[in-house]
Amino acid sequence: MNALTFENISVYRGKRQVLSIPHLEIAVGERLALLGPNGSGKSTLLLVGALLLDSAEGSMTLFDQPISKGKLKILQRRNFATVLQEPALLDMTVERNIDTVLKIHRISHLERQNRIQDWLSRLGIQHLAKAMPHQLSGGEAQRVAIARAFSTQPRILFLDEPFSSLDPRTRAELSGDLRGLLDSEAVTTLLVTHDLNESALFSDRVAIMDDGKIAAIGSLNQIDRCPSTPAVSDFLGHTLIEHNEIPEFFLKTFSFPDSSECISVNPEGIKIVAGSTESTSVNSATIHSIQALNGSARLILNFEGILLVSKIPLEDLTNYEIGSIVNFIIDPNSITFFGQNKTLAH
Amino acid sequence: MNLLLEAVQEAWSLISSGDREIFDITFRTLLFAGTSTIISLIIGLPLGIGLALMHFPGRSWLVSLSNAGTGMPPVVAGLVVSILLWRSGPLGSLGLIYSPLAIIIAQVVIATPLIIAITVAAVMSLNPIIHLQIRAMGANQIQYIFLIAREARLPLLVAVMAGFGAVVSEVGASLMVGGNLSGETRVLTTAAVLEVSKGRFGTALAYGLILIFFVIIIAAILTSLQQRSQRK
Repeated sequence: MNALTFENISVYRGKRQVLSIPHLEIAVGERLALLGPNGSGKSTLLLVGALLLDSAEGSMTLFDQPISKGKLKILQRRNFATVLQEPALLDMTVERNIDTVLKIHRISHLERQNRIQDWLSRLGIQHLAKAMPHQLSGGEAQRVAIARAFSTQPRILFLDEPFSSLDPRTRAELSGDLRGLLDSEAVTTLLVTHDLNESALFSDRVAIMDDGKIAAIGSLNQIDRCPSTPAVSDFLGHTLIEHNEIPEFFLKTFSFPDSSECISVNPEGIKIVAGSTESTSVNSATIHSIQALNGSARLILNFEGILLVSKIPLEDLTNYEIGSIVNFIIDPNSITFFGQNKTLAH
Repeated sequence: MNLLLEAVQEAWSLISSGDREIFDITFRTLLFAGTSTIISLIIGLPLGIGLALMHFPGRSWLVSLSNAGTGMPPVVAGLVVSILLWRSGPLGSLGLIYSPLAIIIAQVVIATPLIIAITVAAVMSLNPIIHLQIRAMGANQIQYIFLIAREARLPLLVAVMAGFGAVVSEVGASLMVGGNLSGETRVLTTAAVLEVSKGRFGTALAYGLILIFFVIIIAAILTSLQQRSQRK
């Protein structure tokens, strides 16, 4: 059984199509993360799924039932809970915020009291029950928003970049707690995020969106190993090289499909080695810059005018200096060949 | 200078002695202004919330109209209501001209655009995320409007105060449609005008001081509300 299905969904902003989903299924209990750059259509898809934005074309089903209209649609919306980027708490105490949503869901007074106590306790914010939203820190406010969402016992949870406005420490704590709640409640989840680590923590599958379309869907590892389009490669932080810019070494070492227009190189496949360049498979490059990203480090290598990215352990960061020369090898499996925006070979 | 001092002394003496006529006029002023403010709220709040939340052709024209209405001179409102209620006018058969109801109607015409305009601005100034979150919570239309109005309650209170302030201090419309009849349609502003025309500055000043007292009370409440919202 599917929790949600989308068929030929289109959304327009003015005359511009901002979302085009020919088919998407989210199974009951599944956690799907929507990844992609700004403006790729992630949040639009989430809003359509949460019945907060009407699509111009297409149809959806909710637990295999078609989506209704008018008042019945509002009742169907009560199967969901949504946590937005901003906590969006109402101007009332924390406990009244939760009480209000439970009243909307027509929960009895006694049950409301039980759920408020339960969820405030599970999110570790019982002491904030009487606090007003302006008295809360960003992390506390987002905890209230999560407690409010879970208190309704949603069948589908929509999370739209819920941690993006939090500092790294609060983000780590809250994401760990949320992961625990998702495991214990086994709720179907659709998460929008920019963060690859977050998507790995929260999802069974990821969908990478580009220009309003799903460019790739599957496990993050699978997509990272074999990206389906240059845009997906680019989003995952792979090095994209146009055909006319491919270094001589690549052309000699790897066999290119005739119609390949560009290649991508996975940073995991570029290994820094101590060996000399006498071996034909070893090359040297200058360190152009050093980055720390998502808990790991990346060396940006200048190789014959092309900037290649190599992923290294964070603890090795101090071993390298900008401007120094390093030797590297490339795993052939880390190269993907694209022609006409499609994968040709891997 | 002597004239002013004498007027102040006389005004204070009238107020402190609990003069019956002053008490009656003050009570009538508050009754008319309070009633017209409540009616304006009943009309203006739903219209303002509707204008802020709904999207339909001509909406921006209506918002502009209500904004323009905030600057309508009370004399013009009085003139329009007078023409409508005049004995030979379209509603003349109702016999309302120079009655308390005529004053209330004129004051409703003055206060309603003000309340609509402030309500529209108040609701539209809410964070759009709040609108989205309330809908995401599964609220139906009535719950949605109620929660939005609750979120905008501080600026909506400003609308109430502004509406009351506008009608309690206007003179032109009340004079035109009420006729300043003693014991019936005489309010603080029209009474003050009459007393000045008779040269009884002390009595006029007493009315003026009571009006100023109400204006200060309204300003104090508004300031308190603004400071409360700034603390958030």
